[in-house]
Amino acid sequence: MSLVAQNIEVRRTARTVLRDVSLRLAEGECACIVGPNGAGKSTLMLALAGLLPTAAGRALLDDRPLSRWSRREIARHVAYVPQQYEGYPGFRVREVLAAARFAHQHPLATHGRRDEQVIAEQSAACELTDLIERTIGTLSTGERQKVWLAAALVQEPRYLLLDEPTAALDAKYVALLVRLLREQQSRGRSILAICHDLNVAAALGGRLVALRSGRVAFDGPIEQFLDAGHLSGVFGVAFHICEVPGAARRFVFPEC
Amino acid sequence: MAARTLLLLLALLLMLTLALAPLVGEASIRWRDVFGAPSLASRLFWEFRVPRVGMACLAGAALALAGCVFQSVFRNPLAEPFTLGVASGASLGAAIGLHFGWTGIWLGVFPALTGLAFAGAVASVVIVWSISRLRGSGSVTTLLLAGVAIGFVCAAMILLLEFLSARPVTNEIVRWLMGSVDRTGIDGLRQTIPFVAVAAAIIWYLHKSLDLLMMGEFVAAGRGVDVRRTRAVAYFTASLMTAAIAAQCGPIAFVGLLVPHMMRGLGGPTHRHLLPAAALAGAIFLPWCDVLAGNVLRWRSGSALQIPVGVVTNFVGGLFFIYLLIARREDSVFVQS
Repeated sequence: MSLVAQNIEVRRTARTVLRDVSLRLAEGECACIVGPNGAGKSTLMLALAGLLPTAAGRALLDDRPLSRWSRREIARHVAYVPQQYEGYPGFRVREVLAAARFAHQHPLATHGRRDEQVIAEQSAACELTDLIERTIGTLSTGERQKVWLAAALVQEPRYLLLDEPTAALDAKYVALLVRLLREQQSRGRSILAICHDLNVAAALGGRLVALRSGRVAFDGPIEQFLDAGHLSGVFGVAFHICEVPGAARRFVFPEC
Repeated sequence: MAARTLLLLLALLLMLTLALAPLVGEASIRWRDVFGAPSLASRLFWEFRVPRVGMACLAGAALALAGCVFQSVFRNPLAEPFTLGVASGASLGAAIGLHFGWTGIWLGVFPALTGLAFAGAVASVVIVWSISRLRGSGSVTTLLLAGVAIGFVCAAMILLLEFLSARPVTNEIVRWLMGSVDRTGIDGLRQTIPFVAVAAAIIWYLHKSLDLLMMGEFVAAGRGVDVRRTRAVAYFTASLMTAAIAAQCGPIAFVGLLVPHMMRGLGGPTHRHLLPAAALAGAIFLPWCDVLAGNVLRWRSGSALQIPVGVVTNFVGGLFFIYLLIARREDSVFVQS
């Protein structure tokens, strides 16, 4: 049981963004993707979600190419949280969450008890209960981010793919998100998150995949990555690496 | 307003429309004339007024439904059934028929002009789709631009036909292009109902997918919608339904723009409520526009001249367009990626 990129090459608007990238996300595993802007992080995530075709290599879900799964089947196993919302802002939060049950319902069915239960659980878990009747257009960017995370959880996937989930969140919600994701992992869900903040990636723990110029530059335990050589090699800038007394991990900051 | 309350209110208004609109006209008709002994008034009611109001209801509902589909598929509040050249194709077909005098009856039942208009509309739908596919991705932007381009080409050819035709024929072409619901009578209504019924059923089947398409392509695909196939089915279904209406009535613009937008504002964007609300509102709006168009000159100056309904919908729609541009709220704007 795994989500796999096997030597994939992906092109977007006639430009090769990913070259010969391989990655295997096992069930229950948590991995973070890091890398400089334009390294191909979002493209890799879209390819793994089956939302972008591969020009070479294969993306596999449970050893079967994603191209052989229907979109509805993929959505029952893989949920993708985009970086930005580009749709109609007049939907209410509850409507967005209800629409996320699409893959589990007949096209003409109304919501059943199970649907209502999942929506209530996940909106409470993501602290959205007070926002449930608000429209997306009236929410802050951080609140929207929570809505998309809740919608992905409402989808009940085995693999959760998050494109910069903490980008617009304040400290309180970053902590909430990290806690939520750990909890999801403990329930057997696999998590793949793009993180610009290396300290958030470190807080999530587990494995780290670093991309540079469309290729995998590092794939291994995050503690191994947090040294000056790896960091400057991937990001092209020097980093301060701090040990904080009482903290279980190191913290890194780019030199400015 | 709660969506269910809105639907109930619209259903009541539609019943009132069906009961009252056929009574209004140059010759005033009362209900006791209709159900009393056979008379000129009852013939006028059943043979002229009822098919006319029926066609207006059907066209209004169909155009509003098609408008919902196009606005959702293209995530653009200014998309409407005629944006993609359907009306231009139908108009060119009709103009060809009028220019060459092909205005008889095919197979003893089917008016040639309607058939040509339908063929023109379908041809433009297929050409627009093919152009968008030639570009590889079949993106919504290419589709919209292809529709606009085909509209220009058809408009040029119609102008040429008007220029080359004799004056009475040119007048007929111009009159056809104004859009009207009183041309084809009960037969036109019978021919159009199956198209609209089948298309409405398909659109209803897609209502959850349309919600997700409005949230963005990646979101929709990520939730399980086959975006390319859904978009193709929605596009052809709404276009063919529009073609069936345009073939009978000519181009009646703005109903498909104005009605879905208003219903989205009143009842919310979820298609489970939006589609029936828009269909009901369209079926109310167009008959009253037709009543206004058919009687305004008589009310003003006693003239028996009837303005084509397309003039009224264009006028109201144009004003609404200006309102949209000036007073639109943040959540009334779709974001095009």
